[in-house]
Amino acid sequence: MVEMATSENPHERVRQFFCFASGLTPLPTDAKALSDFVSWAQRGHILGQVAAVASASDNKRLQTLLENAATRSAYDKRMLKFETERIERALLGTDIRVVLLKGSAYVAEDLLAGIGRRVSDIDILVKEEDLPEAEKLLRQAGWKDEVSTANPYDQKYYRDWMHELPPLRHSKRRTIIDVHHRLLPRTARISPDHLAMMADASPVGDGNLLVFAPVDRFIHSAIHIFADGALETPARSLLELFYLFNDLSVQERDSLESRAAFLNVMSPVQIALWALKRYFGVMVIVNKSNISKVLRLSIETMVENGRAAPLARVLLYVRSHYLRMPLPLLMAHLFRKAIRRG
Amino acid sequence: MKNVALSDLPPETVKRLLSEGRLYLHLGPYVTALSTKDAGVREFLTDMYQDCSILVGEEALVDFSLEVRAPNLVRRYIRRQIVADPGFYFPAVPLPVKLGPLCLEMGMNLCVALQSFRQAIFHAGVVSDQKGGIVIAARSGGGKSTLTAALMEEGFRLLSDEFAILCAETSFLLAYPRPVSLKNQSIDVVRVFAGADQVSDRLTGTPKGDIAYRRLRKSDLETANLPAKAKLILFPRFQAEAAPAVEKMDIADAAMQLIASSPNYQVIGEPAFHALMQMLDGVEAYEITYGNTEDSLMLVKDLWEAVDG
Amino acid sequence: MTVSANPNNDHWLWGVYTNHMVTHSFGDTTFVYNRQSGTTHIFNLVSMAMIEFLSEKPRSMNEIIRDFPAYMGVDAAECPAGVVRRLFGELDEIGLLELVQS
Repeated sequence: MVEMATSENPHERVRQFFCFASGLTPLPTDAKALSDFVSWAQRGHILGQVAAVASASDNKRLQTLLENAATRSAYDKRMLKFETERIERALLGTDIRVVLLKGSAYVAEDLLAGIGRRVSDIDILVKEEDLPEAEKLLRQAGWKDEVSTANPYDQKYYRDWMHELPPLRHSKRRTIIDVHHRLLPRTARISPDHLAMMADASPVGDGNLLVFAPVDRFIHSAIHIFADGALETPARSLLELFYLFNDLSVQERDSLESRAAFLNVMSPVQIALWALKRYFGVMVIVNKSNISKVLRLSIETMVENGRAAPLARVLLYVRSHYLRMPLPLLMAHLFRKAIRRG
Repeated sequence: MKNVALSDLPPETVKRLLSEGRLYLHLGPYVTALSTKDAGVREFLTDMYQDCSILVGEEALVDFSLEVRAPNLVRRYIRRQIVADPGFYFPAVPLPVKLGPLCLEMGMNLCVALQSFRQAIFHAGVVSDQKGGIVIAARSGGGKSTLTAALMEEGFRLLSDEFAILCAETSFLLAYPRPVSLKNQSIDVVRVFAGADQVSDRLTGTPKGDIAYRRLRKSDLETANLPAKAKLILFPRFQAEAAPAVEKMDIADAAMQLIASSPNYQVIGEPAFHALMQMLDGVEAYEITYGNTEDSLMLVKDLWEAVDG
Repeated sequence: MTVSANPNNDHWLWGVYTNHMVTHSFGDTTFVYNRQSGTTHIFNLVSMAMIEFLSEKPRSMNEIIRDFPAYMGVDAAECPAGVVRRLFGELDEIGLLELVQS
């Protein structure tokens, strides 16, 4: 089959799209198939990832769209790198161990998973006993309470129940930092052993900041996506998982399940592996009995139904990414004012 | 894919393409897939954009997709409302359904402002003649659109009423001509000098009072692929009863104000910096204060005459 | 202006990597694009002098306070430590200064 993207079976169709998006198969040359795929990638906000792996094309329109998306990803990457450097600067001279999480870690290590992410904030992990000192130094360097959560109720809620400090926003650059001391809220059903993961973390280059070991990096991504609500961005999240999995050696892949069991996070890791098998044809043995059928079905609906999925979910996911957008969107602000009543 | 004028498509075809989200409007550097089932929006579009180029076919690669629709199922039927959905979350407040054209125009602006990273975009109107371009920076109550519409009657071509689109490679301004948005008193002012048939029906009760649109001109569409080199940057200030006045601005101040008005300057980074610096090397910037359109035209003409061709 | 880590540590030498910056001048005003942050800044002659001073060679905070006035061609009284520190802090916060050696 050459005109793959025209497949009528939703699962097949999405699987083909993921193959294009991750560079496993070259982009279709058939104009209709290409148009279908690009429009799917645009709706899922993953054109930046596509641009990172697609080979040069003589289709000028396609190149234009990919360059547009690549410019946006380069910005996110630059912003993350710079903010990471600012955090390092803020904590210079202390012995606080800081682990970069998610996007900032991927970018620091130049991983494929770090390209094309839409990033609005930086996530770091420190030991709970280091929280007060880390918070103090970050505040000295210009990070302040984010207005929307600066009220006493939210402050107390975060500090009592959450796995992170209330978000801090830099007073000049407007970027947000989430300082974690655990990987999931105290109230979450599973409780990953983050101290074991921190113990295995290693420095980035010759700097002071740390990143998780590759296996733990994959595991944390799985936790974030399947236990922390990040599947609202299905295409993007699955691509991230795929890239992180791809970066593992055979031995590391083999150790995933035992490490997950040790860290007490078996269920999200098994779902992640099941999804990678279903959508990327990754060769893994998955014990489906541990994954609830409802969960499997809802993931399938989300990933495969595209347009038909409830709008509320789509809004919810984009909302979390755009609400904290650090751009000085004065123009956007003007439009918003213009359409606001009264 | 082939290009046809919107007015060449039968109404039922336009209706079908819009309901399928496949009306591909090809305007300036962008292709936008438009989608709506609202009759008011469709009529506005068919009228105001009649001379615009539409891509016909199933295999378009579009820059933006915009749907103008009811915010939810209830509002499709009861106290009907309408909202622009550019495919990403944006906190737009739904409007009464009769303001659909406003949603369409705002939505198209949002698409360009927040999704285009190939050119640096500044919030300003742009007109040009064979000498080059005039950038009219947006300021609250500054009268950018009225002045832009007035200059269109003075032999200038319209590049955009809303965006100065700076090409990062050439540092020339690109044209993206769209209907010029007019508010309140300026609607009648423009009806007088452009002719009543050149201005759309009035949308009343919008969050900004009354709004109407000055029709797109065929000549501006025909020249839309010609870039212009900026020669003059104006920061207009409308003040009732004010005596006309001109003050030369420090180019650094002008630059900072333009940067602050840009939704994507920061995203593009170094190419945008170079393009902006190159553009500023060839321009002069002025703040102009005026109390009526005649005065503003007089001031601009004087400044423009002093500019080298 | 807050400076996070204490720059007074005399083992710390501060410098400027000029290849991280792009500049463009209009008269006495210089636009500086910081390649790492992606931000455009506007500098006056004094800020630019500090950039040039630190790009010559890395210096400790004490050396900066001691030698910058002479580099500018003014008395130390005209360019007191407080002013120099503030200038340093501004450049530090926008990420143009680098800790070269510790």
